[in-house]
Amino acid sequence: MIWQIYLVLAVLFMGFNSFIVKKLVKKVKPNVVMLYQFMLATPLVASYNLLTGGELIFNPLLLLLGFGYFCSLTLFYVSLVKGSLTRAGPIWTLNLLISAILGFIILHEPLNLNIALGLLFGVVSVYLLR
Amino acid sequence: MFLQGILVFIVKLLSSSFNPLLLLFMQYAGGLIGVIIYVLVKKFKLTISKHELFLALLSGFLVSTGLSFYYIAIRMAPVSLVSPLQSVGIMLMQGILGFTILKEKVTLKTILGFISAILCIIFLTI
Repeated sequence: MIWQIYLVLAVLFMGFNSFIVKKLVKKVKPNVVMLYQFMLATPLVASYNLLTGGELIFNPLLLLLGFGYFCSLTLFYVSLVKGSLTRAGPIWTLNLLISAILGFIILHEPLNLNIALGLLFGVVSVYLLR
Repeated sequence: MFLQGILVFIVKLLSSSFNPLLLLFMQYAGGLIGVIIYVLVKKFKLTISKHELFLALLSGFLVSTGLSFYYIAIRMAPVSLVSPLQSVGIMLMQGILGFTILKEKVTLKTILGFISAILCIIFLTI
């Protein structure tokens, strides 16, 4: 049950965040918003790591994760500029399928009727809520 | 979309060997380097109002804390459950905040969308 609690907390925080970002990017360039976000987020997450007994081990390969994250967000913002939020937003949200499919194929995570139906309803909700 | 989906999957793969908060820290550190270079190359104007700065920093707090919880959840459970639940959950929250705070219109399509999202959550968690 405990991972569900972490997930609910994640959704609450990130849900409020997306609401604030939507308001903010109307006036400020998205990459400038990202800059200020990351300037706070980097030391904050380092603190969370240390407070929970973790260590700060510098691994250059892991920095590539950050480049990838920055690239995916920037590409999304470019798609918003060139397209519209009503189209780009749901397509972005469909990344849920990519990680799920990779989980099934590579990690052999269980796939049953309930999960398949859940993913189907997830995709339908993305389409309807755009 | 593909890149983001692959990144989430890579986090799942690495979370068995690395602390998820360390992964997130390195992700933000790498992202910060990337965005600094990008903003400098593009010569974006960095001065913003105090209100906008407050919102940007608040957003930084919310997204980093939210992602911290998310990465811990990814380590504990299958990514094929956590990732869709997170995406749909955020969409639901956006919709709820939209019509409670912004008084956005609720249409039949929106209601059906909410029902689909709730069904998605039910089927993925039973």
